[in-house]
Amino acid sequence: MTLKEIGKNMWHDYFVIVTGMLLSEAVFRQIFYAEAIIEHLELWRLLAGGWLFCMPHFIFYSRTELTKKQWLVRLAIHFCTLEVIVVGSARYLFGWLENDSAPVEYLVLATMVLMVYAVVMIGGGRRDRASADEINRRLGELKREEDKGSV
Amino acid sequence: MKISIEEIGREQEEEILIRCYELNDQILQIMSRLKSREDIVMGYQGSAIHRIALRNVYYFEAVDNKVFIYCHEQVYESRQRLYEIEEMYGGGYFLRTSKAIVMNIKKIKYVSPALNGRFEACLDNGEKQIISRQYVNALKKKLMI
Repeated sequence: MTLKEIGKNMWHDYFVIVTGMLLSEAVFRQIFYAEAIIEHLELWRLLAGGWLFCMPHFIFYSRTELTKKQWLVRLAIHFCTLEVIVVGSARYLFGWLENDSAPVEYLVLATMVLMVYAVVMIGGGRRDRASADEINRRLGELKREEDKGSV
Repeated sequence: MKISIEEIGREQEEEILIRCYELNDQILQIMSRLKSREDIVMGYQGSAIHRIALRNVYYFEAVDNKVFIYCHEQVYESRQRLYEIEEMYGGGYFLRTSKAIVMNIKKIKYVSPALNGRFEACLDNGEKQIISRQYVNALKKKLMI
């Protein structure tokens, strides 16, 4: 993936990630910190955190086309890196995962990352499927036109 | 479309003038054909030289500084560079689909999504080739999607 493509993906995924983070934080706070009040600084942290979580996109940087195997390996590294960043941020940026319920908090957080990741992947897959269907429809039309001799 | 021929004197320069409402795909295709001296490409197999109809070409591929012409079953070598082929036939139904391939989109049976935002094109001869993500938009544009 080229730097230009990475930039485009980062821009697109930033909004998905921020929405996912917002949702995760809402669920997380509801379960573990229901009494806490959100300060405005945390909203800025959330927006900045979106860019932080986009950074692992550079794992996909390559000057040559990645093979399926290379891409799957980088995807696995990307996911693990994201998990580390999310847990690290929760621990050191937001001050979570410090009390007795830390193991459960970690499990919930890790599951949420997995869910957001899956949603992004499934969304991308569905977009590609729709594009392929549209291309196939036009290719079919082109072949029919050719058969009629109009092209 | 009306075709007119006007005979001119030897002192004048011969020219082909296309009068059109707009420069659409059909006109570009005609221009491409004129520029490419009809729909023929020269393919080399050892010492033999073959004249290959462009409509029979599935794709051109650059491998190690050489360009090969892939037809239904036969493979020929071309003396042209891939960018030259792209320039000459790009106005018609040939399209760059990856760094090394210029493909005849009329020979694509169907495409299916591959991993990493790429697409896999299954050709009429059953061969499969990858369409890089950066060229997917060009394919859509060519198909007027």
